[in-house]
Amino acid sequence: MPIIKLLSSDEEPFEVDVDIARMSITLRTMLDDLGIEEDDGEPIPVQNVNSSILRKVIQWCTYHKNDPPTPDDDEQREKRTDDIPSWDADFLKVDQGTLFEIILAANYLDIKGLLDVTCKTVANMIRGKTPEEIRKTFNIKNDFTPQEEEQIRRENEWCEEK
Amino acid sequence: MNPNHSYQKFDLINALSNYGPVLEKVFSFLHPKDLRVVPCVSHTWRDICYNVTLKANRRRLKALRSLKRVKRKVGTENWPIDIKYKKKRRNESQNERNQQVQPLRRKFSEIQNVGHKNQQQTQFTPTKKKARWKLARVPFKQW
Repeated sequence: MPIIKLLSSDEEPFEVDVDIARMSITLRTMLDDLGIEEDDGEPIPVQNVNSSILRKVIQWCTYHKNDPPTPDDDEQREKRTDDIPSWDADFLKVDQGTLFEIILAANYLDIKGLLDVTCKTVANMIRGKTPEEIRKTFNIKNDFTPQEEEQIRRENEWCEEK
Repeated sequence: MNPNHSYQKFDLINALSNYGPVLEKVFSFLHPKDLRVVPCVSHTWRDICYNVTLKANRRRLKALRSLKRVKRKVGTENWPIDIKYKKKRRNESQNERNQQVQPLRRKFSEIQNVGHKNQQQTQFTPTKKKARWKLARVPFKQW
């Protein structure tokens, strides 16, 4: 199995299989464009991702390397958030800062499966809650004046439906 | 149950506000009911919902329009309605109507049965065929 080297933003080298690196569309295009087949001593820099997050991303990719490719038709598919595999749910039991950085890394590296599962996790944090509960979940201060809040409630009728 | 309280919290959606497609994806997993809650959280969330995630906002407005239609139908004085309760009521009233309709339907089916009996009587004429067979057989044996 050919191996290539990745270099995280804080200069820590990682050795990964080419197959795992190719799960990221960004890395795949880079490898294809540069014609890199295997390690030729020159590590590939991944500027926007630091070592702890890159380690997690590689861990996720290693676990999911045999997954079938996800279908592309985003619009037709019914949106479900309760189909997160248990391994992924455990994997994403991290603090919100780490989750945020994983989302950014998945977005930058263009790993669709990882981005999907992290977005679902965030959506699950919002789902079925009142604004007050959401504020508590994300530690947000309520910056509406009572009049504004009343008006925006009426605009959105969120409390009207039981 | 929810493990989040033990972890560091910060405004994830606000932090993602520069990444429109990602937020769009997050909101695409939400029900319109939850989308209606999103602008009520804070100023930044409202701005994000109105200005960044346009697709999600369209979905939200569509849900609001349909809700307003229901509101106009029901009347504002009955408004905070329990939609599930309403569905249940509708099912009950449908059942009642069915029960009212059923005796009529039974009568109708009786009428239909009468028709069937007539048909059976008309169809019940294979005796002739049998007789004809016997008639045909007799001359054959005689040959």
